[in-house]
Amino acid sequence: MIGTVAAFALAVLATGTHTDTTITVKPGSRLELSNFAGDISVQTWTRSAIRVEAEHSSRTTIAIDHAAQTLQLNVNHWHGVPTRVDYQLTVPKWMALELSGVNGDISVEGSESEVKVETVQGDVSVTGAAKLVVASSVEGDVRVTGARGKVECSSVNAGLRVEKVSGPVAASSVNGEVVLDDIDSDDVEANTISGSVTYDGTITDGGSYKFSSTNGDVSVAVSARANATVSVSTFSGEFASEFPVTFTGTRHKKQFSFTLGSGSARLDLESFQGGIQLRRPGSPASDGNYDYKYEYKMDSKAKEKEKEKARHKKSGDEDDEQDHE
Amino acid sequence: MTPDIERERGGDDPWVDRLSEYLDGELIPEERGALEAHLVACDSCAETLDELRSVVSRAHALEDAPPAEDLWPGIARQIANPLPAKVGATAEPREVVRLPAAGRWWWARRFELGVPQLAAAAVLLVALSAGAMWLALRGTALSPAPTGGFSRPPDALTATPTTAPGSDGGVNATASLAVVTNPRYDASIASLEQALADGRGRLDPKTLRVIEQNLRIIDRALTEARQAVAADPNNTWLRSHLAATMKRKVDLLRTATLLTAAQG
Repeated sequence: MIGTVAAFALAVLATGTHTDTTITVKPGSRLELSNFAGDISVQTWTRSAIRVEAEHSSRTTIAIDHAAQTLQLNVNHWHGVPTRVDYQLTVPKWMALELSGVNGDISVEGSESEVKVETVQGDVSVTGAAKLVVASSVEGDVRVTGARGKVECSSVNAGLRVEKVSGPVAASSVNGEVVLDDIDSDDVEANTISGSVTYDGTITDGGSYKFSSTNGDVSVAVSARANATVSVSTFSGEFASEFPVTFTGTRHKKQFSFTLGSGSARLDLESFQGGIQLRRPGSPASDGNYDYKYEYKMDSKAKEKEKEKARHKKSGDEDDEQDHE
Repeated sequence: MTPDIERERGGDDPWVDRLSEYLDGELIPEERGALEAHLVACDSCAETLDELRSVVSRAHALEDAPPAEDLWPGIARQIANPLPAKVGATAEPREVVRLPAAGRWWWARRFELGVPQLAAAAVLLVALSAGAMWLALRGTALSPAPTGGFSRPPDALTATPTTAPGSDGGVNATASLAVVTNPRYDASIASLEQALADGRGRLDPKTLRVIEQNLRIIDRALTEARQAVAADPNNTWLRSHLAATMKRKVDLLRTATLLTAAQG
């Protein structure tokens, strides 16, 4: 960053094509690494030290810049021409990570801290992590497993899979499916344009859950004990439920809502032209050929509205008849 | 790696690649002194440094004066509730909308790039910020045009807007047209598309294909959403669906243009 970093550099000259060095780090330090081409694989240990193993061209050097609480791994390419560097890092469990790449996979295992990973042409996988996980790829799959904390993940042209996560989740793809499984959260939002969205997890009282797809199905598991106000919206898709539900209030042909239990949580389900399915936890998402049962039960307010509509229609018809006469 | 090592490996002018670090204050004192001595004798490096300073200065100016507001909340509000605000009504507090996480990250790193990348990123900043400012200044002109005053873009509608019995047909029809022809949104998209077109040569061809393929997917979804709104202009959910889809295009274009800067 411009003009602010008083850095000192510890140059680690490569010998041959392999770098292997371990340095001690201060508690609370974070690691930043930006790689052009090559994979980044991170594992953790309990030591307050970081081990850097890298495979690279003999004309490339890796520098470790340490400024305040941030440790940066930088690559000096010969003549500035980027070459492939594959990293294997072992870092303290507590160390926050910010890793990015352009052409390569990134994986992090066993972290107990904040993790931000981003690549363009490659897959991203984060297992563990806490507080905050930001994971994204343009062309590759994104997978987050076992995180405790907020999870934000996105892909443009591939799928997202978030499993065994405890905390708020935001997942977004353009051309890929979104699978959220074994989620414990009171705040979940997932959407895609072309692909399905599947959710298995808690529906917590007072929580907010929003799932949407433009061209794919939305399938959500709801336990028999869930308390939720469910809003269903589609343009040309169908709604189906594995269990009976009773609609209340006014009902638009393709947009309606109903209440499960006390209705405490808010569950918004949207698919422009795909199916929307409610099922019980553990039950697999259907391919759309499911039998569903639901009935429409108007409350008193809705009944009054219907009557008013009918009266209005009748008087309109009578007026028309008079006009004809 | 020091410039001497570079020279031994046959580099033409090893200091060119260090100018960015020099500006950033990242050179150690010995290197800084050596570079300053070199600058006295090397017109080419001195000239490049001046240009770099100019770019950085422009970029700083942009950072210090961001657009007064993020444009999207206004656009979204207009789509969701397109009726003109009452004269004298209290203005709503401005909302702040985050860039997508990926976007923020690339954005934040732009000054850590090399000279050509830095220049490209600065140009991109200028293009985007200028467009955003222009749009922000046009904010008051964004309320729906009077009925009949709208020109329909060639691809905007294929269905004829209909109105529900008993509804205010004129207002709703206008509102529908406002949704599908929002000039603020169109200008924002055009600005981003231009930035992407300018930088497409810097993107990996495979990534470019993926971006363009996904933009087409969103465009198809947009066309369908617009048609649905035009056919059912009173449908609040369809409007919000359209707004969400429009935002997806903005987000993807932002990501793409930032990638062009980062991969320059």
